Amino acid sequence: MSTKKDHLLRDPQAVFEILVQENADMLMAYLRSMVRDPGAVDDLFQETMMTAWRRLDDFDRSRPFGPWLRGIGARLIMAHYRKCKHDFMLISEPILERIHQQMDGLDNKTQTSFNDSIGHLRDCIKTLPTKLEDAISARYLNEHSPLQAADHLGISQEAIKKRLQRARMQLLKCLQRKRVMAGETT
Amino acid sequence: MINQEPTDSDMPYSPEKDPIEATDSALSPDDLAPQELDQAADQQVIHALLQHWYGDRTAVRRNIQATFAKLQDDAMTAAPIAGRISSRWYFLSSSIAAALLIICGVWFVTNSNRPAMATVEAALRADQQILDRSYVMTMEFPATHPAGPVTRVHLDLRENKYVARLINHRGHPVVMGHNGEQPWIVLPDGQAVFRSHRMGIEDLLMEDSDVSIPFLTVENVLSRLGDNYELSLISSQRLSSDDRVSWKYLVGYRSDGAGTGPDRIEMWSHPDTGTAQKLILQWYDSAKPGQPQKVIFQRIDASVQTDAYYEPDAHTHEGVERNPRRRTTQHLMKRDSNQDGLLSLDELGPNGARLMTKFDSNEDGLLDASEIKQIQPPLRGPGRPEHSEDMPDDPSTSTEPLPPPLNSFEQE
Repeated sequence: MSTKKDHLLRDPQAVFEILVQENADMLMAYLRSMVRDPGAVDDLFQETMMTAWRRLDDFDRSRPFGPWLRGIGARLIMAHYRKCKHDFMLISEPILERIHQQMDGLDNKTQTSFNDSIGHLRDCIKTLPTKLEDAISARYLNEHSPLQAADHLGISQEAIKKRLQRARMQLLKCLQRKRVMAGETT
Repeated sequence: MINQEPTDSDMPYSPEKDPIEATDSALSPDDLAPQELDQAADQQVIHALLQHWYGDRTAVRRNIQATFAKLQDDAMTAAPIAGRISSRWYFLSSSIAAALLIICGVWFVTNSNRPAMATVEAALRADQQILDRSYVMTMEFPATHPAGPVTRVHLDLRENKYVARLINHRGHPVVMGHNGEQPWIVLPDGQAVFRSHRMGIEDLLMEDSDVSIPFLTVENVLSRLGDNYELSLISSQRLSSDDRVSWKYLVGYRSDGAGTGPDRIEMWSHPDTGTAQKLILQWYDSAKPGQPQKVIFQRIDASVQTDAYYEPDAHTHEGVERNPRRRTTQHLMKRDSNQDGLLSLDELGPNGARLMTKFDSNEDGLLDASEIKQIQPPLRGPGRPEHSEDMPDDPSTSTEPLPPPLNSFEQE
């Protein structure tokens, strides 16, 4: 006897809605890890989801949806990157591969959800020295540019960029200790 | 040995190793060793997680909605016509195809608008049955707008009463509302006053002159939209991944070009009761593409309030003296520059002479605490003096200006 859930899972639109809702946060973070321009992030998000919908028949339901979605996103990113490089951060095959690897760790549904994984970030931010925490707050919480953040903290632009770089490195190490992100590959 | 934290000068900044802040010309993957590429990728991932953690979470939801709206548009417009048609039959075939498309189009519009309108009607009936509702109203403006990019308002509604709480563009808490008879506002200094002027928020909540109807109902919103919207109904949408309700999703685009009302309206309503759960109104400015103005109403669970909650006295700020006379005393004693507990003519300011004549009962040329207590606080609002002559002018008591009015539904 078929259950309501079985019926729901046979309906491709219902399945797609569930998959979109479950993977939307991960996809946004994935795109933001390579794309600077927020408008381009939005466009790529919608384009990725629409491509996924059109190719849903190609998706092997026995496999996780997240990596398949990121694969579509990666192809769209590369196509867009060739047209306007200034919208993007550093992109190359090894970088894409490494970002995939890190996202797999964060998106490991057998252990926890993506948002639960990045919830560890809060604990890690608390462990930062005050100077680095202030730099992170100025740049990400207050959404200041490096110049504004430098003005706000009364330090040079070079110093704020260095602090941000150090803070991100410490946060990475903290997340690696918590086993939500991969360690060194070499 | 003391393990000292590294200083900024210990590690000089190398822009060529910073993928986040470097310009595209300053950094190339070809210049980096394999391990440095991994480090750059890790920096980019952490940067994205921080943006996601601190940033606007509504961006995700907004993108999901936009995706489904596009998919719906796709479904409506996709009509691939394949195959080659010989030149001989080209004219006849295209005429038949055009006629068929028109017939299909009319059928589709008629049948897609019919359930849409039924949903709206169900929402209207359901909304009229509900007395108490609470919403979070988010107003998103372009970054250059004086009211700031985002203002959030907590709204409690009961029939023709409302209470709205927000932080204004100066960072001060503001509470305002309507008790069913008069609009009121609690100023940042904790003083509650009735007001005669309309606030921008009321352009969204109320009809121009009639406050006796329940506002923020789907009926009220749609009555302002007129008939100039193309409505589409999408069968079901969840508002979050753990949402147990599949809401009926209605999207409407203004079809009258330069007419009135928002350019786009979206509504999620309950599949059984038809009650509006979320409403998004959006205006596009052709002069500023990519910077829409948006108002979002999101219904929230909140306890039912008493009638007294909709009166201004229930909202004077915590820590501010509730007794208006004592508040006046405290306010006036701030002018006691020599701290002797008495107010002289000089200390009272421009209205000092009048106050002294009226309240200096022992005629010693000074107002003491007991005499100051006799001074009534000002009452402002319809039917009351706009400014009590017994209060000295003081810029610190001026009404804190609220964000400029929203684009109202009547805007062109």
